[in-house]
Amino acid sequence: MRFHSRFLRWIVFGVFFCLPLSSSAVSPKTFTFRLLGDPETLDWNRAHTPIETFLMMNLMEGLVAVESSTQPIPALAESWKQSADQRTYTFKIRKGVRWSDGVFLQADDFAFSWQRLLTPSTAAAYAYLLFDIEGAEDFYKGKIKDFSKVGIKVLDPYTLQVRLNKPIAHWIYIPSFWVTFPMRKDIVSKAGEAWAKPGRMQTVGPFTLESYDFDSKIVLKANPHYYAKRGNIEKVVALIVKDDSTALSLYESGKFDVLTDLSIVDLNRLHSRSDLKTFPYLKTAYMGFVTDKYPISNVKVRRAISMAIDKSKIEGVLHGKQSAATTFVPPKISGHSPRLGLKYDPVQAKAELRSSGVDTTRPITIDLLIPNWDKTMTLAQFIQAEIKKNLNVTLNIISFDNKTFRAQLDLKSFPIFITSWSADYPDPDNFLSVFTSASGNNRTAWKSEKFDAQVVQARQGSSTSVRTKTYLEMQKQILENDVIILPLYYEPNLALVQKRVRGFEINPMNYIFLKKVNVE
Amino acid sequence: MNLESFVGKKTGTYSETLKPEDVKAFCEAVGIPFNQEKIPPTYLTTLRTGEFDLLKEIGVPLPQILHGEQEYTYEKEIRPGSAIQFETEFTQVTKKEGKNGVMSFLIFTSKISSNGSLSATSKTTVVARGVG
Repeated sequence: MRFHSRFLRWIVFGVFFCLPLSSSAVSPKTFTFRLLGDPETLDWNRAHTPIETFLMMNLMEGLVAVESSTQPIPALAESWKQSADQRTYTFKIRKGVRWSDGVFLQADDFAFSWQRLLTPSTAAAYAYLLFDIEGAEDFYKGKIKDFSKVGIKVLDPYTLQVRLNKPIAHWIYIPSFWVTFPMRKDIVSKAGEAWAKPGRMQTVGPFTLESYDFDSKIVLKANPHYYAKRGNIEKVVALIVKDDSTALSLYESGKFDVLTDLSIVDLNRLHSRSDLKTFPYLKTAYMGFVTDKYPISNVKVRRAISMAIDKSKIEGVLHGKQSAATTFVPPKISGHSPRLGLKYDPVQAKAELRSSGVDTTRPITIDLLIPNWDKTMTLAQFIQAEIKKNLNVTLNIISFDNKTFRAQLDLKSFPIFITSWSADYPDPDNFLSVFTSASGNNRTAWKSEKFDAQVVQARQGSSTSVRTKTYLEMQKQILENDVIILPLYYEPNLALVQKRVRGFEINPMNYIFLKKVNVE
Repeated sequence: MNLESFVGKKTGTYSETLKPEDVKAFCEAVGIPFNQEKIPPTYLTTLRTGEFDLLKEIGVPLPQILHGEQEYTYEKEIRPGSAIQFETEFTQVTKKEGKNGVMSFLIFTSKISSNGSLSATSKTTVVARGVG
């Protein structure tokens, strides 16, 4: 008894003196950076903007992941098997993975999430991503009421099987999308729409949601149950700063560890700095032609404009390490070629315009639609000068805020527009399916049954060389023969990264994985 | 059993990560030093899921088989920790009559790729006793 009480005193003494010392001497490693605005939602079935993507990729994980390279790697699925007929995927869920409240992850969490994603009342913008699964589109459209008829089966607590309508070459990228991340039925059923709020949301990724102050900041903290290796970041503070110069000042004063989305004015000044880092990005900026608007309806006019712009000068105008684009499919994925597409040739451009039948004795003015961002305005002014110099055609620049610009694109009201496409998944299908007849992203008014059939054929093909050949043929059609778009430039992602930050990178789909980052 | 009719049968593609801790355990078991730059040449012996799945599909009882020859051809080195894909095909069968009945020699070929290109080919000969 005496021994016991003395022993207890030593324990109390130790706890009293050690605890305050350890908590005051070591402050939590915090990573701070900028968000351009508030997320529209934190519900990953519904998330669809880059701001939300950043949060989802650090709160959650999917069955597979696409991180540094463009190859899918195992994530919450430890392994998977694709059947010989290429229509069935059997995923083995990693055992021992816990949600942030300690509950074990199971295959049911994926089935629930995917059923919710396909339920029309969820109003998920990306529900269609699962439409290649047997019965999924019919369930979404209400033709099937019973979810057990959909090709998503839980074979046992750690096995999920998915059956596709037909083989799809790129399908394995779909379970890397945030909308397919697992979800807890018990939490969603209990909390309803409020399930994604701090204190209610549980995650399986490296971080979990600590707090969210609207229009101010979002704080993530390390998930104590995270199954994989994580750097030393214990807290992530994402400050919502809309103004570029304020954001740069915060970075320069050390308040931000990383700054992305740099303005062209800043880039011009920062380009030689050692803390400006470059990351490959699967993105193509392009000029689109609305092929039923006069005089752009004339293919020779489209060809003349395409050959009258010296794309090699764009880097000198935008200062973002841009390179002149050839194919719509950017480098690093199959279907790219540095040889395809119309080349800069002002003499031939003039000849094309003269032979087009358009009256060149009178002034020609064509409207060019752009969003009112500094970068796009600078680019449009450069293109305007090139077209005036080489063709004596006036481009009338019409700019709108991004929302109105998108609405005008959908209306196809102006004959030429400038926009860009970045990869959702690193496969040429993601780029070329933009121009199919049914695509909501095809703003050119151009339609081709042959092209549509080629997209379907290439999507189902299993041989990379055959697929690549088809993608090159399709691009010859849209870039050289029918000239529905002019790829302008490819560009990397640029970010300012403080010296104390190690292991930071932005992947080719513009995802940031903070689990790999250490701060000194 | 008409084993010839199954020649050409493929498993489909398996995808997984070669966990460094598993490679390390393998190295300890066979008494070679662990190299974080490349897996030991014989490590691919652990990827026999496809072969067993095919044997089950073909209907060869597992207690009647013996592992015969094993052959590897590497196109490039594979690092521990790599995400790999592999597919196994039943490529050949030959039969021999002996005093104890028929023996079949089944050859399974696995193509292992990482980062989208072929890394190695593994050829396994399985001897099935009393099957043919």
